[in-house]
Formats: sequence, C-alpha cells, structure tokens
Amino acid sequence: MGASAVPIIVFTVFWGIVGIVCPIFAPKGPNRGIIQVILMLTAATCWLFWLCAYMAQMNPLIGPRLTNETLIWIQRSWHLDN
Amino acid sequence: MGSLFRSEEMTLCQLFLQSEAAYACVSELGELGLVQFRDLNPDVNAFQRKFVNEVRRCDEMERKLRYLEKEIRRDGIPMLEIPGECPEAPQPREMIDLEATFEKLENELREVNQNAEALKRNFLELTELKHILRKTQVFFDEMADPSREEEQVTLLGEEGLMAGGQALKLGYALLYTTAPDAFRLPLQKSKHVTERYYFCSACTGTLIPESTDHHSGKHWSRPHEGGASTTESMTRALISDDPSRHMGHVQLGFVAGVILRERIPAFERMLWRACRGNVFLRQSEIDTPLEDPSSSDQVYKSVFIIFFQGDQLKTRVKKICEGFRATLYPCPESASDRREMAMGVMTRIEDLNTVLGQTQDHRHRVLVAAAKNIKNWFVKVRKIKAIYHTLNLFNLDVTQKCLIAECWERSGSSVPPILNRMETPEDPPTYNRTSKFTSAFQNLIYAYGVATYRESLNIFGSSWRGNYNESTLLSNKMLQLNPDSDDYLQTPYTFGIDPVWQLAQANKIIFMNAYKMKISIIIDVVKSSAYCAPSILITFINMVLFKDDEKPRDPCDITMFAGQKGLQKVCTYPRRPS
Repeated sequence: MGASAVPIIVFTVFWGIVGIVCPIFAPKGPNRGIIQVILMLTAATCWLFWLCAYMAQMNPLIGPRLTNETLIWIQRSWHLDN
Repeated sequence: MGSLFRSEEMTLCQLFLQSEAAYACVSELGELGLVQFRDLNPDVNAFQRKFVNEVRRCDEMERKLRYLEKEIRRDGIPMLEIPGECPEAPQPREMIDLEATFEKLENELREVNQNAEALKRNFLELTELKHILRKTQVFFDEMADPSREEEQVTLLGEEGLMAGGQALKLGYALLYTTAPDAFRLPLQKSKHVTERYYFCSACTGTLIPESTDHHSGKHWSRPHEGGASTTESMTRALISDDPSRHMGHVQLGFVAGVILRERIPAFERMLWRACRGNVFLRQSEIDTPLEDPSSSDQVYKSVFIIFFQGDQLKTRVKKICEGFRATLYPCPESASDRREMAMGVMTRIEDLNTVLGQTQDHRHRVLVAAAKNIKNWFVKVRKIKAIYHTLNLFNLDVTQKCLIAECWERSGSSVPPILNRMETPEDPPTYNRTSKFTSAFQNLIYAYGVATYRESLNIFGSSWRGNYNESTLLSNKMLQLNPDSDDYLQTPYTFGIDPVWQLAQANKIIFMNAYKMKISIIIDVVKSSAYCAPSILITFINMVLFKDDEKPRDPCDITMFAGQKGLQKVCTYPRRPS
C-alpha cells in the first residue's frame, strides 16, 4: 500500500523544473514578470492537481465494481501481456 | 490475427492487371471492399487520365437518371426499392445498352413534356378566349337589349338601392371626367332617341325630362338604379353591337384580353394616366384558376375589355397591355361571329382535352416503367463510375498491356500470382474488420474520425487486477475488486484517475464524488487565506445542518456566500426543520 517514490519524484521534479527553473530563463522584456507568474502558477496548480488525484487513490476503501465480461477481458488481455 | 480492439494489419501490395481484365478485377475487389487503392499518378490532373471518357459517359448517364427521377417524383410515382441484393457492376459492354436506354427514355420524356407544354399553352389560350367570349358577351348583351338590362338592374337592385344617391353622383362625376368631347358629340348630333337615352341615363335623371321617350320614361321613374346601371349604360353608349348604331360618325374600337388579377389595379391606373382618361375599361374576374403551362402554377386572371377611339389610342393601349403581359385576343364585333367563334373554341377545347389526356397517359406509362428500374440503374451507373475512377488511379505499364495498381490490403489473405507484396515505411490506412453487428458502432466511431493505424482501443493499464477463477467469473454477473488483496497493486495509478473506473459503471460515481469532494476542499484551502481555511469545511457543515457558528472568528465569513441564509430558507422552505 501507499505511494511509490518514483512517480512522485518524477512529477515533482518535472513540475519543479517548469515552475522554478524555467522562470529563471524567462526571456527579458516587458512581459518577463507575467511569463514567470504563468509558469509558476501552471506548475503549482498542475502539480497539485496531479498530487490530489494520486493521493485520492493511495488508500482505496472500495474497488471498482465490474461486470464479469469486463473482468474476463481484463484477465485475458492484461495477464497475457504481463 | 486481428483483435477486437485494434484495426487490422495492412500491407502495401502491387497489383498487375491485364488491361482487358482490369475492369472485372476492380469490380470484384470493389464488391469485397478489402483494399484501398493509391493514386499512382497524383500529378496528372483529372482530365488527362486514361478513363476520363468513360467517367464522363457515366456522369452523363447519371444526369439522365436524375432527370428521370425528378420527373418520376413530380408525378408522385413510387420508385421500387432494389429487391434483395444490390446489382453487380455491369460489364463494360452493358454500359452501351444502358446509355441507349437512358438516351431513349430521356428523349421520349423531353418530347412528351414539350408536347404537353405546347398543348397546355394552347389549352390555356383557348380557355382564356372562351372566358373572354363569355364575359364580353355579357357586356354586349347588356348593351344590345335594354329589357335585358332591366333584369340586370333588378338583380343588382339591392346593391343599387344601398349605393343609391352616392353612386349617382359618382356616376355623374365619372362621366364628366371620363367622357371626352367626342363622346358628347353624338348627343348633340344624333337623331337617335335611344342613344340619347343611353347616354343620359348615365348623366342622372336631372338632365333629361321624364317625358322624352316612352321607353326611358319608365326607366327614369326609378332614380335609385344607381352605380351599376350607370356604368352599364355607359358601356352601351360607348359601343354598339350593330355597326349601324355606331354613334354618329365616331368610330370606337375595342380590345379584349386576359390579365393576371393582381395586375388589374396598376393596369387600370396606367391606362387612365397614359390615355388621359380617354379609354374605358371593363373587367370581370375569371372564377376558376387557370394553370400556367411553364410553371404549372394555378393563377387567377381577369378578363378585360377596353374601349377607345382612334388609332393613336389603340397603339398606346396595346403597348400598355404588352407591358403588363396581358394577352389580347381577337373578339369579333358581331354577335353571330362571336357565337360561332365560341362554338369553335369549345370544340377545340374538347379535342385538346382528349389529346392532353393521351399525352399524360403516355408520359405516365413511360415513367412507371422507368420507376421500376431506376434505383437499380442508379446503383449500376455509380458502380461503373467508381470502377473507372479506380482505374484512373492506376499506372499504365510500358507495354500498354498491363495496368499497375498499388493498394493497401489486409495482410493474411493472399492472391499470390498477381499480387506483389511491398515493404514500405509509410503509415498504412486504418481498416477495422466489422461484422453486421459491430459495423453500426464502428460507423458511429467513424463519425468522430478514423483512428490512426492500429491505434489501440485499449485502456492504458490499471492498478487493479481481477484475480478470479473461471467459475466465479461465469457465475457472477458483477464482481467488486477488493482493495485489501492482490486485486490492487498497492500503488496508485501513476497519472490521473485509474482508467478502470471508467469501466466500473456500477460504482464509478461513488468513487468520483469522493475524489471531487476532496479536491474541492483542497483547492479551496489553497486559494483562500490560511487563517480562515479550516472554517470552510465548518461553514459547509453548518450550512447542511442549518446551524450558526458558535465561536465566529472575526475576519472570516460565517456563511459560504453572501445571502446564503435567505436563499437556503427559500429553497428548503417546505422541508426545513424549524
């Protein structure tokens, strides 16, 4: 149960780059400030949204209720693939 | 082997077709519907291709068929659906037969239509003439026979009574404005008592003493005869059936014709102005609508007769009639001629009716015969056209004996001798194998766009696995996966919501609602100030419970939004716990 480190690190680093590193290299000019704000806000909100979806599924209380046809199909295709 | 969720694997093939057999091959391939041909001469424009002529001939046939269809629809003949299977594409030589058939049908129909139109035009003219003769007869009769006029007057009596005095005055004024000097002349010069009477009856009784004539005396004793008799007697005064009774030396001419009813007012005004009131118009509506032969609309028309004097006015009147698209008809002056003419017209109308009936019958027969086959023909012609279009995509071999085609074909099946499989880095087109059942759904999907080649209709994995044995799966219609078991991989789906929930129609909403609640609270907390943040949940709970915050914190709102309490009361009024 619980989180696995890899996705959290990957996404945090990715949005960290977008929201922290990118603003540093924002082009100079009258719009520099607004570009920085856009990048930071985008990164922050996207990361937060992703995190919410991730955490909402971390400790599930219920599982999906599926029809047996779907289950048969899942077992056939995914288990063969894996 | 293709799966249910992916489109078929495709191979690019090269086909060598003998030019004689190419048509038949393409036709067969078309019926199978498994290959997609590539255009091997994309730089050649549509008019320079090999089979342009054939395509053009097909276009021509289609045009003829469309014409036929239009005619069939116009007559409301039901077109037979194709019974059972679609017809196969016909052989090229059959095309000539088809062409000949269509040509014949089209010519026949056009001829029949032309004849019918000419006949109808003729019929319309005759009918109009009939009406003219009938109506003008009334005008002339009124004038010729004074006793007849009395009948008319009695018929019109009531109206005349009501309009009485006014109409008399009007008639008087009218006469003085309408009647030019020429009209007044005969009154002075004429020795005919009747004419004087005719004329003066229009000028109201006051002008003429009662005792002038025994005939008119009776007449004048009823001054209320009014408007109707005024105009009628004017007509009588102005023209005469009997040439000897033409008023003195003044020659009055007249023209009679038919005009669209809605044009009458403008026509009248125009005549009045252009001729300065020197003409006299009488008109009478034709009660039954007449059919316009060119548009086959029903139109209402009126008969008119215009009296005038002199050639100059005649040309002017004729020009105006022409301008208003009125049709003028010869109307003989003497009653016997008119009667004779009317008889002639009636017999001709009868004859025409028979001929028209025969023409329509013939047309109907031709169309009914065509209606049986037209759908079939349409399919055939379209198939031929499609085949030639496809053949146009092919490349001609150097020896001119062979056509080279390139096509995408489902791999797996093979026709070795003439099929040459090719390796290609290109992206193949998408082909989804469908059965009768799935094709409906596939078409629905195509409505949104065709997936790229072998794009998976799969979902991108999941953190959930079903681990049930076959008997459990078969005996239970629905199964819920258990988070506290191997069903759940114990790590959440990496990116967004696990797609498996989309398949879990039974409890997708429960999960999604929980997720949405959480996310709204979190986002709300993030965007509001940290100090008031926890109170959002509290105010929400208070709202649901209809309670107030017992320890309100100063800068924070105690409600979710302004006016919440009032709105809440209104919305929940019947069920609110008081």
